[in-house]
Amino acid sequence: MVTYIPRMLPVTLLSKVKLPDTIISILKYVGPAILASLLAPALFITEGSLNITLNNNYLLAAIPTFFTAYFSRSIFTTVFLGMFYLYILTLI
Amino acid sequence: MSYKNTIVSGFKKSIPVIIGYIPIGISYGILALNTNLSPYLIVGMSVFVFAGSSQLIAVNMLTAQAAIIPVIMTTFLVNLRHILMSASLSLHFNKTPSKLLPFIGFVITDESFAIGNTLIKERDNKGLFFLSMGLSAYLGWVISSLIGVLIGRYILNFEIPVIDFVLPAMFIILLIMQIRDKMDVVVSIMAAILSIIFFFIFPGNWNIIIATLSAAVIGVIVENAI
Repeated sequence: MVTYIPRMLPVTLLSKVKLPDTIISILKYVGPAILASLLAPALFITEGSLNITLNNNYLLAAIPTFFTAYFSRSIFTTVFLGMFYLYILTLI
Repeated sequence: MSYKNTIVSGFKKSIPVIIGYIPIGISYGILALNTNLSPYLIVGMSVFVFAGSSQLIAVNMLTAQAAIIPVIMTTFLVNLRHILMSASLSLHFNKTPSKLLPFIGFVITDESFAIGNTLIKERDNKGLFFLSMGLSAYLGWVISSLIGVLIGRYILNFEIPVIDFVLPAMFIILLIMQIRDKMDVVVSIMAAILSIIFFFIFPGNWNIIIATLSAAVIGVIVENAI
């Protein structure tokens, strides 16, 4: 239920109502913003503290992963090569 | 476009999502088995909950002997982001029959949102397209987690050290797919910085929802100013 209600209610109720333009503009930025908000802590925070060093393999692996995502536009390629980059980094 | 064509095209567009789900579903199944949850419960969670990151988080918390209420609350907080996605998608469903909407709601995920939001604009039967895409992605998710459980069951101590990178890598590609212009880049960078700052200020997962909303609102303010 806790996963279903946030998904079901807005789409059911709001589809028949015209939203104000400001709300629509905000919602258009929500897509990229929420993914960036989810991603950043996963890359920059290691075991609860900020980690911007060369020891942070997640952060280093993210750099080629971004390029892969940009050029491939494919979920599978990005996830697969992302894990491969991280694997190479763990060997070094 | 006929109904049949719409359903077929929705199914086709779900294929990259399903391919993305396979490693995550399998890793979910393997990780969950390590917590001594019953195989039926693990696959059952995929059937009834259908929320990849929440299921991984829930399974993680169950390992740490967490009480059940914090697990439920965390899951709810993580899924608050779907309110925003659902509200954003609702813009496209003004011509969709009302009885379809509760089902459409169930199949809204980070991935179906990302794909739906970019591809839905030029479709005729938007609701049906989204629903068929979402439902086949749902089946893909359930089957992948079943495969994960089977692998974990028969190949014990199966360890892939890089499996934790599946989620970040997926967020990266989904983010790239969402970027349409320079303002999206600016808003994303702002959201990323705020999310890290708020991580140290607010408990739980609140940093995600607060950073998202602040960055989106600031984005609109900046947009109106220029």
